[in-house]
Amino acid sequence: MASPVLPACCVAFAAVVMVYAQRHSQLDTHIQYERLGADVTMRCGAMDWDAAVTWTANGTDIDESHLNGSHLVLRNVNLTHSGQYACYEGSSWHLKYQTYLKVGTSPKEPVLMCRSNNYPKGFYCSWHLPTPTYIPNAFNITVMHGPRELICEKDAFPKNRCHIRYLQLFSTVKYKVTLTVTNALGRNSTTITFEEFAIVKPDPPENVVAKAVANNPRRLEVKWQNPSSWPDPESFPLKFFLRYRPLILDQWQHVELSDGTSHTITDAYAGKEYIIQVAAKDNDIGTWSDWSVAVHATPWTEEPKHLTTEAQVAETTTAGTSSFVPPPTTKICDPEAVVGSGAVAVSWTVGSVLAAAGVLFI
Amino acid sequence: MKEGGHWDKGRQVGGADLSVIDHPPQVEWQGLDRTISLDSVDGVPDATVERWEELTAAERLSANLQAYRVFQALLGEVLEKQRTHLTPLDTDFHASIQSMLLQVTALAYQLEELLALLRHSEPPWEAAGPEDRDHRSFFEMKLRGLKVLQELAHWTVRSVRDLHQVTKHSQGSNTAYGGQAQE
Repeated sequence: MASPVLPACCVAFAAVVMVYAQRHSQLDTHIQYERLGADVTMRCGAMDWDAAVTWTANGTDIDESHLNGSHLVLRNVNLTHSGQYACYEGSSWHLKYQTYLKVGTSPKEPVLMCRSNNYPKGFYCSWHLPTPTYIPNAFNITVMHGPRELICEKDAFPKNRCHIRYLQLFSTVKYKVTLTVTNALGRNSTTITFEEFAIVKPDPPENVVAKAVANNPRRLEVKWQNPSSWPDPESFPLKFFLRYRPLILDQWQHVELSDGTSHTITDAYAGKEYIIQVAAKDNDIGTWSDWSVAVHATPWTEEPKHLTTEAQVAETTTAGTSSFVPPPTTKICDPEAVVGSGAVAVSWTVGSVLAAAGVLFI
Repeated sequence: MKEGGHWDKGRQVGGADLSVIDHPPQVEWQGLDRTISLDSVDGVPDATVERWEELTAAERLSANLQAYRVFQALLGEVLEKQRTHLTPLDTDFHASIQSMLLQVTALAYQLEELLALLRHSEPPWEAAGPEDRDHRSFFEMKLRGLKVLQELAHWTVRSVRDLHQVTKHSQGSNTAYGGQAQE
């Protein structure tokens, strides 16, 4: 015959499990968002103000000095107040209320930028908040071209970026992009408008390599490649800007190159190590790219010093894929040709069209 | 670009084309504003194009030729208005417009030659756009001048790309074409 002690043990164990489950029940948990610096009062469910209760934060009992009757009062909350709060009836330890407190801020005006680094395929917009909100935010972006809404395809990563395909090219109609950010504590938005040409900015040139020229102590040969993101350099040619200086001087020297992906520096100081960078820009529109990765090189000396480039690894990986053509004639851009007169600026461009047309007659 | 030369400073839009509308003579000096809407100005060839990459050489050349034919007339009109009403004393500006007009004319001529060379038919001369209304206010004249230069700037950017595409494709079919020409 079975001992009566065993069922009694089982009942007691079941009771303990029930109480434990009640204390740790997740069923009624909800999230409560509060602003940084706010005073927060929590009620213990439907319990009366004068009921005896116990509050816990992340499982630890809260000192009674934070109670106003059965209400929990948290003054001037900060991020450390975030956590799980629970309230139990004083004598029975029945869970009466449970919440997850998240302290944060409403979003400030988001920072939004759009850029085409793969013109004429499309452009992308990316965004971020100037300050963290500490709570989840939802972003919604709307891209309009005149009256037409365009689809902005979001990246899986990074999540703060989306891509738009150009449906029209050479348009004077402005794009209007609105980004709205919403969280539990508020919302904000920012709108930018721009023209198609204004946001064209290539990525920096790639695989920049600089090396000494044998038997020539004042020359450095620099070559690079178009940014791989630029889809059609043949029809949308880039021009380049090269800057270089000896490490011992602060003053950069510049040279603008209307074509070609190489240049020979002819005025280097003998024996001095140089730092060299290249930037790219569409021939007619948009802005200059950021500077490429810096490379270092020292002109040839009779007893060769350390000839080096930071891009040597890249050079070996791309060896044979690019031809090293003779350096193009250096063209120093005359600023007046661009900004001197609106009419002249058009003439200048028309001139380049004529030149392009001329190619066809050759 | 920080050290990219002073002509790029503060010119987020960059490029030769947009300096037309940035430039004081057309915008500030004539009392206009860069944000002003030019939507109401009609009759100016629009460079906007969809599916640009899919255009044939003939379509590209025809569209360009048609546009520059209209620009010849429009630039003449702009020049006349500047001389007569808006900037009668600014002969340098008139000379610049005149120079542009000559280049546009030369370009239209070259486009006609190209069409002939590539054995494409010339587009018909389109009926003249809306008659230039003498009763336009000075402000409307200024807006129209700005619109003409703005669209011309976009057309020149487009044309360079169009001609690159035509070159690329004609080089691709050059052998066949050359063979025919020699026969």
